[in-house]
Amino acid sequence: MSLPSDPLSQDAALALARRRSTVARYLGHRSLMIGAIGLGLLVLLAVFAPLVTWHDPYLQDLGNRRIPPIWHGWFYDNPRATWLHPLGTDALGRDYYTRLVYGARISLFVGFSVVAIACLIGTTLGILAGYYGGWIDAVISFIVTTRLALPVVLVALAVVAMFDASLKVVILVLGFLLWDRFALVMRSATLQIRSQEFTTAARAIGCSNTRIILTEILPNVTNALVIVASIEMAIAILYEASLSFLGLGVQPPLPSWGLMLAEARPEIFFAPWMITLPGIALSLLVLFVNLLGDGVRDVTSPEGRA
Amino acid sequence: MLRFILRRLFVGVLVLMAVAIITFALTNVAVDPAVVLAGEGATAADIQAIRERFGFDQPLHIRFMAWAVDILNGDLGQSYRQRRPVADVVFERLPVTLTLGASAFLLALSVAIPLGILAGLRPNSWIDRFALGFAVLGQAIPNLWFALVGIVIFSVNLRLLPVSGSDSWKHFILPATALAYYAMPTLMRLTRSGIIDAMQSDYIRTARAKGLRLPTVVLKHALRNAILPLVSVAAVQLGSMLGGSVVIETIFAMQGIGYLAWESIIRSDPPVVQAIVLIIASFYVLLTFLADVLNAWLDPRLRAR
Repeated sequence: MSLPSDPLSQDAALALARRRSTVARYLGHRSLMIGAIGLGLLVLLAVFAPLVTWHDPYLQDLGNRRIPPIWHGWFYDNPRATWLHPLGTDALGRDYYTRLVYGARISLFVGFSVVAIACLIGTTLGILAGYYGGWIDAVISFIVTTRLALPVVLVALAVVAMFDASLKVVILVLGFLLWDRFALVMRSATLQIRSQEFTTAARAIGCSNTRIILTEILPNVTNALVIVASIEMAIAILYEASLSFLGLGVQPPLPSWGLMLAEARPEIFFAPWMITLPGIALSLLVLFVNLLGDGVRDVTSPEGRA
Repeated sequence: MLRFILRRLFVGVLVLMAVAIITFALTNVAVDPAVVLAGEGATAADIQAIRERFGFDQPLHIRFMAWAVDILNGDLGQSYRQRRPVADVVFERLPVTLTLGASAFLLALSVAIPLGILAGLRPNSWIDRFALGFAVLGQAIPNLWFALVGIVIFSVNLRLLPVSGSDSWKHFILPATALAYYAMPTLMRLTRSGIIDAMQSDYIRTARAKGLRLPTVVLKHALRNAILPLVSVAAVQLGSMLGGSVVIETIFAMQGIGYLAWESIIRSDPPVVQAIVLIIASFYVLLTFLADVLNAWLDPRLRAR
């Protein structure tokens, strides 16, 4: 590309080239692209669930219970396995493929909402601790340590049991338990940025603390925020599955993947594929989220690999 | 060093007090314990009778003080459902959970550290790629599903291992593997990055230059420094394994405190749940305290903080 002679637009062109190279780095990163495309596909499936399925996820069909997936027709010549139910049906005759697709809605919804709550709590605490230091930092660090001492699964189970298990309660409980990493990472990121020259400059020209936090600190911690959010989203999705599996999470007949695992457990001797499928779905979703987070970390801070 | 230890100990005690207040508040303020105890279908008179019998009609701070004094005296209260002291109920279940946690922890370390060293010595080699791929998969596969698939393969199809219970060492193989599998990736990645950093440092070049053999350099010099961040993370991992064993113990019906906690939550027996949360929090505080002390002993620079 030939640069224009006018110095101002030359700057603009350089900035554009730099932005393009950032985009190219994102596009060229393999695990990042696998994660982004995979997660994107799962989000699309979840959003357009009624368009990509051809059954009702809640409709029981007791005449067609425990139909095996389509490959049982190919490899074992099972005549019941047809394209009508490509991934078979569960113990109540509900189409397994449809339930898996609708289950993605629950997992993704839990993941995004828990991260939103946890991010709000953790980021606020972390930035306050890192920015003000002193006794505020001491108190917030103590709160974080106390939170870390609480066993998450146990406390979540107990609290969900107290307030009648539902999707809403699960999201709130997990959101209020999983903010610790946001607080820790934001605290150290803020500490680092606070000592840099542009922050000192902002203070020197008389910016208020609120303004410095919102316009100088927050934009510079976004990368770290995205990485932590991906880690916590994966964890939240796994915890929701665990809670639902133990009967103290999302309640039947909702097709949560954890709940489907619990419902498939009595079939372990007769239809092991009922356990395999929700587990694969869960692993894929978590894998894509992790790959995306790892990729963002690689691209934004290549030296910070752990 | 002594000041460092005392300060950490003080914070640890404060944290445990905070945890005690939170567990007490959750079971006494967030919900009415008399209503929980009475169960569904109880009349107002029943609830009132229970309230008087168990002393729930007294002010909150008096009840909390009485509860805290009892705990300090080693009395964890009475189980509502089993009609026995909570301490008896919990401590007879503790050995199973500790055995499970310890064996899972040792298993995770014995795979993570050698694999991390090998991967860290040759970054981007096939063994590094294998180790990282293994770690990415390990973090994605939910351990409850890993346990279920383990049952399908080893108990149902091959009939090698028992499906549930905790009577013999064979009962521990699948649950310990499922717990270890989930903790391993973090430990492996930390060892790997620690070794990569250490191998690029000047003291390793010196050690190599004076003719020390590679195994000696790695094990005596590099690993010693790489292990520092591992110590605190490993302590946290062991602590969360004890708390996370709830899911695994329930799947395998192992008679540990995780399964006991789940049973007590389902049957609404708050004193037992409270005690288990406190015990696991104490383990966590103790482990992170030991890790801090160990780190300060290994690296004197940390004592100043």
